Amino acid sequence: MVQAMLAMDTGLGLVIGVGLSMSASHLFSLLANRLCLRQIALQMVVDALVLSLALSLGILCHSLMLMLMEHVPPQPIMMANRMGAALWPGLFYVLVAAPYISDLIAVTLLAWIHLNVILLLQVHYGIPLQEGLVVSLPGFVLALVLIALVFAQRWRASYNTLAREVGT
Amino acid sequence: MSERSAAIQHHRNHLRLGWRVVVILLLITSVLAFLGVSAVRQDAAILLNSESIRELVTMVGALLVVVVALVGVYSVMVDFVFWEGWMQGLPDPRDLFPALDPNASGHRHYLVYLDGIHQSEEDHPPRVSEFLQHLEQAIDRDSLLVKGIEAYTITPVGLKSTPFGHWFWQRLFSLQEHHPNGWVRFLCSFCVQANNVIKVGISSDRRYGPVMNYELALKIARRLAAIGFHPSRASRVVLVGYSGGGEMAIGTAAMLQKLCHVPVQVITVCGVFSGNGDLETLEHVSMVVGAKDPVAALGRIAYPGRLPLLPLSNWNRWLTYGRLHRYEIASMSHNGNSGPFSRHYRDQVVAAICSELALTQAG
Repeated sequence: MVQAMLAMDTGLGLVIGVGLSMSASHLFSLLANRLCLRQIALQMVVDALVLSLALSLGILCHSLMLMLMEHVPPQPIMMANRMGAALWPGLFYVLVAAPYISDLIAVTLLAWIHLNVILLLQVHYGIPLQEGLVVSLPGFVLALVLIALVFAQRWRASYNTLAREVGT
Repeated sequence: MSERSAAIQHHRNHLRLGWRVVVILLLITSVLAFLGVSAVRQDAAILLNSESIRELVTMVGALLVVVVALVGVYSVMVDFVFWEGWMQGLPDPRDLFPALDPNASGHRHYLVYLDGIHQSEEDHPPRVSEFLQHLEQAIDRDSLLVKGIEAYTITPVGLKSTPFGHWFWQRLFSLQEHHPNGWVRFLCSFCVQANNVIKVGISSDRRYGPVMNYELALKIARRLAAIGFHPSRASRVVLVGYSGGGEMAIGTAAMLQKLCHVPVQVITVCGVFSGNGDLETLEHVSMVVGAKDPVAALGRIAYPGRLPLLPLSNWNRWLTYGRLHRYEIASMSHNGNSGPFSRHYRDQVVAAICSELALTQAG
């Protein structure tokens, strides 16, 4: 698996792909907001970019943690290129749109991504797995919080639309 | 006479020709199968390796997850398409109960029955119909039992008449009822139930549930309006949900209360429900449960929201201030001869529902 990730050499391009997949997973919240097709397409692209930014910030956080804990000079762009491959399970995040089993799929994919990050930290920087867990945790939590905020905001807007409908 | 013998001769020739074709086809198939097995024998031997089997199982597992997810997404899509108004849209809630018709039904209590996941059409199976007849006779004159609501479709029409998939469902129901092969009938029945299970999943999903439950609540409210319900005259609506219908009832209750402007209460019979539903505004929820019901017991595991481990779930929060009445019937199972609709238990279930109705009416 690690060899495959090393061979991927996709870097930041994958971050955009994962962002798009995540954005597509909550397409229905945009439908529930009763937006027109053009608005939905625009919102999806904006959400994809915001989610990609959240993932990039997570990687930046890894870089800072590496500097603080392992005294590795901060090279965020190089690190993003190296660690980006860890995000590949996120390309399937669109499946989180499925009802009821969505939590299971989301937790599995996110745990997989985190495991990939820990493995790549060991391969590229020689950091043991336990230390890798500590180094990668803050960035992972930061990315998760930002992603959850984007999703929650969209669904809250859809519930408000529903409340207006019922309230009339 | 000669015409008759000519017809018989023609029929015989026809049958002979049929047999010849069948024999030739069987021979060709056998030769092809023999050649095919010889060609793939080595590949088949490789396939039987434990590593290959593991790879195959992984692939099948992954494919299954993807297929289940895609079917779920498709099912959600139909609900949202209806919400968007692309399937003739949703009615305006303000126009549901326009004016009080003096000749309309004078009932004050409305019992709405929501069937389990076996439901494929508006008509209930014979055993359920008999049970509902008993219930109808047992409730007081002031109450009206509303039957035949398809709990797993959001449009006013049944699955057979849905705009996009009617041809598929009609074919499936026809095969389910009339196909001579038992396996085909079972497979078709499984497909119908799988569709309904997905709907239960959507109803309990915290993201999609509100929209779908609203659509179902509107469907029930329209049906009530059609039989003479009016908020100014009615005093309550009681949703009686069997099995997966319990989830639909709990999911819909709060929305229905807002639409109908009367208190709504829920009675589940062998209910399988998530506890994710919005129960905050409900006063009465009751459960009629079988002591030997494995499906309801499995439901508690499949839906962790009802376990004490999650005290902040909607169900557990409601339990802190709500009044849950539980009627346990000894030895009753989920369905079949020991289920709630069986001759042996239906009177006890009807009695439990009537006790609950009397108890909550007084309260």
